Amino acid sequence: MITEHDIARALKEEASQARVPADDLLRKIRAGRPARKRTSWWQGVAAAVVLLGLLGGVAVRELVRQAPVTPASSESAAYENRDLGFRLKSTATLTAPPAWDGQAMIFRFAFGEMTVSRQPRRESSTLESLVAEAIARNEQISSSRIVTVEQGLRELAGQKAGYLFAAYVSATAGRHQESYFLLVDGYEYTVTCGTVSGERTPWEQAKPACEQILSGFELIQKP
Amino acid sequence: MEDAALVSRLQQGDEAAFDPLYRKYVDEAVRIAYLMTRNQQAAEDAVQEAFVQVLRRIGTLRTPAYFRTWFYRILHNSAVSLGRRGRRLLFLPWDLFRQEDRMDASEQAEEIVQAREETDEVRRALAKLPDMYRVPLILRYYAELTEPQIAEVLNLPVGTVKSRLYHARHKVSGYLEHPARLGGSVQ
Repeated sequence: MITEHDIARALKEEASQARVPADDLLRKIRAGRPARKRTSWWQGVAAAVVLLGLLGGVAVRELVRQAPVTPASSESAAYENRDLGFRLKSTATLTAPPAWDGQAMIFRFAFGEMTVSRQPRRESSTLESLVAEAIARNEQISSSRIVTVEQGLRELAGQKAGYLFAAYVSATAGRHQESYFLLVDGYEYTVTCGTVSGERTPWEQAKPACEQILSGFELIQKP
Repeated sequence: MEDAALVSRLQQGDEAAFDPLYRKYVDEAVRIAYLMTRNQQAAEDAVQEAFVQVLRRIGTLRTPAYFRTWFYRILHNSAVSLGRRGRRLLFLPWDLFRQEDRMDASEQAEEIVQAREETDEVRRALAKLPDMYRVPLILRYYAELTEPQIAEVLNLPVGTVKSRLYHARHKVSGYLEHPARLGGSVQ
């Protein structure tokens, strides 16, 4: 039988992962603001107008694909893409606005970039098939981060909406990246983060930046 | 200063009394809400909402000395409410993956790794518990409330709380003895 001490220790360790933004919370409480302030339709329109002004040279077709993009604020996600179904909690490290290259959203920061893309779920996708695809692209796979389906399910225990089914670290000539594969709502998401080909940035510099931005990455489901 | 004195001042309209009360409880409140929701943003939202409710409803607290239990009842209700709203969101615990990297570091002493793995197994087992068992465990072994206080927070008879605590411990032990119940083998 598990001891009370074991339970207390496990709870204490899990609780230690929580951040306590005491001053931020106090300011919000003093202002009497309810939690999770939702963006109204006119705020969305205003944000879209500002975005149009900022990205005047971008084709309207591309803007529609990216909308709605919410502006950074202390109360909402710094970046949200409902079309693709994900959000980022912080974009503080980004050095350029998010961009759609026709296949993936690209987020550039000082030492590398993160990409997010999705496609309809492929029944044939497995860790093995994804690794095989990467090898076919001449990527070298580091076996240390391969995640089995069972691990993915366990990591997301209780999350019935989807799960992480594969992840690996790979390298090609001049590029080093982590790749994560998720199944959600009939879609297969690919999230990569790593160095940029041709920029000769050491992985050791890109890795902390990737960890920071990935920790604020969340998938959102349509209501 | 004691909770009762601060609450009495707050009830008499002295808003300066809120600050020390907040400072005293915010750390523990965020961590308890995090344990309940397993989501940082939801935890912050729950705590924010709970403290706003404290300011609005402090006049309804008849016995100021019971503030802590009263506050955790509000916090629990906020966490449950936000949890229901938050189920449409998928939160991805990337950090859990990174812990595996850290555990693999060869320089770490074997016994530290083993202790960490054991604690992680207990954490995974706790994560599998339904809220009706998990929340009493959090209140008992993290917040260190007594069984009657937990009964007050959860609005349950004391006997039910005792029963749930017993079954919760039993289920966690069962998960640890039979890892297949966790939905995969526990490393």
